[in-house]
Amino acid sequence: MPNKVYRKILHMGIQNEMEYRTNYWIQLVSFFVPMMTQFFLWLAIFRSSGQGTIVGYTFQEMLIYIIMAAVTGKLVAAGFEYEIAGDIKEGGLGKFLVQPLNYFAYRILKFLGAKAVQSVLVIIFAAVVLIWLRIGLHVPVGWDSALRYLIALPGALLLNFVIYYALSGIAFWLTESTGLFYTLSLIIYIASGSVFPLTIFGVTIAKILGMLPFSYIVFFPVNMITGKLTTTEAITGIGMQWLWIAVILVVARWVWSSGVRRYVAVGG
Amino acid sequence: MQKEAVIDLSFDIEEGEIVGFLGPNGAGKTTTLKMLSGILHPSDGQASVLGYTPWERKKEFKRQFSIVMGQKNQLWWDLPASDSFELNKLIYDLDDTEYKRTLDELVELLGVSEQLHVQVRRLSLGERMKMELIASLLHRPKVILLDEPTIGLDIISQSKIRQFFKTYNKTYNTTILLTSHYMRDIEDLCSRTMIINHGQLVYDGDLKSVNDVIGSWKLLKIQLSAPVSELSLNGYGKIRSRSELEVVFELSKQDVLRKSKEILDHLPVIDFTIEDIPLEEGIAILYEKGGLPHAQ
Repeated sequence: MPNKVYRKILHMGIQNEMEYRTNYWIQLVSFFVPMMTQFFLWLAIFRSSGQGTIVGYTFQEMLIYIIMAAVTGKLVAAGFEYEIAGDIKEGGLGKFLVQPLNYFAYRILKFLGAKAVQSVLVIIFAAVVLIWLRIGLHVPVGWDSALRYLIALPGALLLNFVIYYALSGIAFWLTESTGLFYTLSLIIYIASGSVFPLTIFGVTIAKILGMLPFSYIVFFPVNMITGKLTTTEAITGIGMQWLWIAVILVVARWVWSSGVRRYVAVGG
Repeated sequence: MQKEAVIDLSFDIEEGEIVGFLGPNGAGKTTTLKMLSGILHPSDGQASVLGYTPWERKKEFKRQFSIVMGQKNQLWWDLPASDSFELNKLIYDLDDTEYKRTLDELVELLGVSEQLHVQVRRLSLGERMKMELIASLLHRPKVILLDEPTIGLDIISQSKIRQFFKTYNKTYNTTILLTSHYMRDIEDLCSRTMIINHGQLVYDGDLKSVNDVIGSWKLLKIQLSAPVSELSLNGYGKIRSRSELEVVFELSKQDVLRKSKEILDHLPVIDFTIEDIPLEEGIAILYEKGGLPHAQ
């Protein structure tokens, strides 16, 4: 498929999203609420414990963590899995199979287009907050750690997408998959470090979670900016991220090729 | 659980033919179209469309045919149809001038130039169907598979779409295979009809002989304002079913007008309809008569 097609789909995805401006402003609010809750929660914990560091983070580091975890979670979030499952369940996939078009590329680009506008706002928000933390509260956010974070971000996005691509293929076997998606996305949400730094679960569990791909979606990139990682750890992490992407992509391709083969479009 | 939707079905279609695919719900019409378009992979058997095996899903094949499913849409719901058309132009890698000419022509033929820049979600069902047709025809397919293209449309839109395909087929010698359970669609468009039932071909030939069977009888359904005696119902035609206030007569086609008039004059009728006999029954009659001259 030539690049022109990709660009057009991306563009239409953006336009499509602009049709519902009110909707995305409201969605943006949903992004702030949990962040504020987290802020007050950690403030209370640090105050009452009287300790300088909790689960390995100082208050200032925790502040960066919760903000950047929310930002990262928002930037890499999938959501196309429901559309894909719908196409499979309702037989709409058929109309894509008869066109000279790569279905997954189509869905991803449409989704990225829809996401683009919001993502720009989220990135601007993150930049403003980080600069304010640095100047106003003297929280040490270095340019180099911001750069490291940006290097880890594309891998995080892609990793999350291939995971959900593989998961969406479950719809070939399970007719109604929304319940499963919801449950799994909740597990991934926690296991990726979107809610708390994984160290909160204790050394053993944190170690186990660290071996799974999910930690490379949020926990790893966010720690690039909190400055918790040595250069060696950072480089290893990037390597692991892309290794997982490759592994899961292989799994996803297998799921999809066997799924499409057993695909029986609905309707007689 | 497995169910055999299509069991033993063999046919050839010549270039430029319009063939109607008739059968009751669940007969296997859509399944057959899906196999011919490569959406479904049959467990056994072969098919060749334009020289390609559909389920190999070759790019060259995809560029030359189109399937329109009345109940599925490919247009972007929140954007004007013109955007979806441009996307298809890129997907099928169409030449600029060629694309413009085709689009103008299709828009003109279907009379939807005013709606081109309106979001699809704001269009009426008929307008949307017309846009779907344009989207499916932009790449000038040589073979078109139509699955219930007029379903849910009002009579005027139905006939407009039929007229469109008639003209289109004449101009471009496009091969069309069409399913419908509206007899009118088939009558108007198809020189040849294939009837399938339970996944098997039960008739293949011109529509005239089918019409001789199915169309030779009409059902007159009347509703009465008050019960009438058995006696007063005699002499009009065969009574197919009867309850206190509702009677269904079976009338031959030649008699239908005359007899209806008499009935309406003599009985306390408050409402009535005249219908074809259901397709399922027609097929059963075809079976009984052994009247399947062309079926293999």
